[in-house]
Amino acid sequence: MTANDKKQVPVRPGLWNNDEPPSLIGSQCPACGEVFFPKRERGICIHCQHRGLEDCQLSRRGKVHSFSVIMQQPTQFFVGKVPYAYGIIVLPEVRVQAHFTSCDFKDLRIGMPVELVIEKLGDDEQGNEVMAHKFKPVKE
Amino acid sequence: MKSIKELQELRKIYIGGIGIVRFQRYDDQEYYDFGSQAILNCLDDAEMEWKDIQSAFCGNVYAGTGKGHQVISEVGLTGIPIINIEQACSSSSAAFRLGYQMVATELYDIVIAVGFEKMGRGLLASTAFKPWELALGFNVQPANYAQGVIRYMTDYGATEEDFARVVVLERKNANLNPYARWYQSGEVTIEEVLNSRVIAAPVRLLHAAAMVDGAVAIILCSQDKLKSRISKEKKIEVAAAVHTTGFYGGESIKFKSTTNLTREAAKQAWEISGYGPEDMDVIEAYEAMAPAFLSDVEDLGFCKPGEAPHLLKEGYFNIGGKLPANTGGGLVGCGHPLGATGGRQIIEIINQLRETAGSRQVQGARIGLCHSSGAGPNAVVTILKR
Repeated sequence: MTANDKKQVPVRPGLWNNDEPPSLIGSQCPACGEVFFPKRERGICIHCQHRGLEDCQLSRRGKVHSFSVIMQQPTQFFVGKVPYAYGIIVLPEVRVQAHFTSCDFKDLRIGMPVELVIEKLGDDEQGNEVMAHKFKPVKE
Repeated sequence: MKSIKELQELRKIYIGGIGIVRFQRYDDQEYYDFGSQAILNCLDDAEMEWKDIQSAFCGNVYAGTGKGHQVISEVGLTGIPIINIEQACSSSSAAFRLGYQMVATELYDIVIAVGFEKMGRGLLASTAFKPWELALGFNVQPANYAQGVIRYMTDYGATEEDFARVVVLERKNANLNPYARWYQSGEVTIEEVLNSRVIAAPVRLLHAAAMVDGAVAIILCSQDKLKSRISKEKKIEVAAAVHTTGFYGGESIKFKSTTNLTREAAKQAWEISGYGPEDMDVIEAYEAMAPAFLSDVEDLGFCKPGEAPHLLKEGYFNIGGKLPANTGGGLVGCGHPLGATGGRQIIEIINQLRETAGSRQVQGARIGLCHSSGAGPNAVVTILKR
């Protein structure tokens, strides 16, 4: 098998759409307006308990709310490589947890503007490329 | 429905006895070995026999089916209801609260709350995360603490030295606690903490509570059932036992949570007990990673947000300070066997109020608060008074 035969699989189906550029998919409550990410599969609003949430497309840009750089290997289920950085990104609609990419982790700062990219996280046991949503720093 | 306050006026609940084994690795023992030893130590302290116990509430995380039953079957089979409770790191403080309620409502007169844990070796796979979160490596506890720590530094100007001071205080106190992992192990300096390796920036190795094994047991009973001399002479009453879980708002932009579960648990505990933060003589605040101590004492209402680093630096939380905290060494100094930690914290407060805390005794301590938290999330706040 050559590298070209590698299949790309999302770390979880339904996190983002296939638009170019892609956007994250959330759920919005038609009753209270609250937004969730990832989309809530059971369709129940955990704020007002309304049943029947609708899919919504999230903004691609947001700001870093918090972050950490992980120097220690997590469990055997981790698909990526150490060190890695993840944190909370505040999008206009909702807070999202994601990896950071395309930067020196030392330069990460709270309030930094970031933008969504879909990127390889690592390879799974079947040799597939596992793709994940990540955020990269951008200029204001 | 009767309020807890109304129930409390019906009947006062006291500590009948306490038992603990040293927190350390028990490589040659199973959880039911050192777990049952904690129960025997508790019965001895209470001067009671196993047949006096009417129900058992057992806190543990990782042992399997019927774990409390396994521990108790090493002591005696009396057919009593044994309830297993898993509330992550607050398991045994939640068990204590359930036991308290059972005696308060007059279902029983004497019950035992037990906590025990044999920790795995190496990294533990948590079932509290979904498979795709594990694939993304979102399950690193130090990193999840670190998210809050980096915010705390940015919002309040706290420094790495401030977090190191928590470790220095707790390791100093642990030196004086024969049940602590780091008993008589020497003190650490700010420099040593700052030079320890980074696990998940800005959280460092020396910020983390060591994974050790351990067990605790506490007997709760009505006043007429108190038996041992110390339990009658230094009567310790449960003034409040509160348990809260998550409030919606953490993931929201539109609806920000104005209620943090620790703040809410403290608020309820003040209401039930009639006390306030200023009445406490000694406290235990939960910190599986040292930096959490600072935000916890703020959330509990002992100072304003951002003030804790300054108070810590001036010795406010030292034994002999204005509000001695984590006098037995806290989680960082004692080590952290998940299911036993909450009960260990409560026992430290009991020892302080009984004046049996030896060289770490807080002079004249009469009222104390114990705060535990656990993944879920859970917050448990217990207030005890002599």
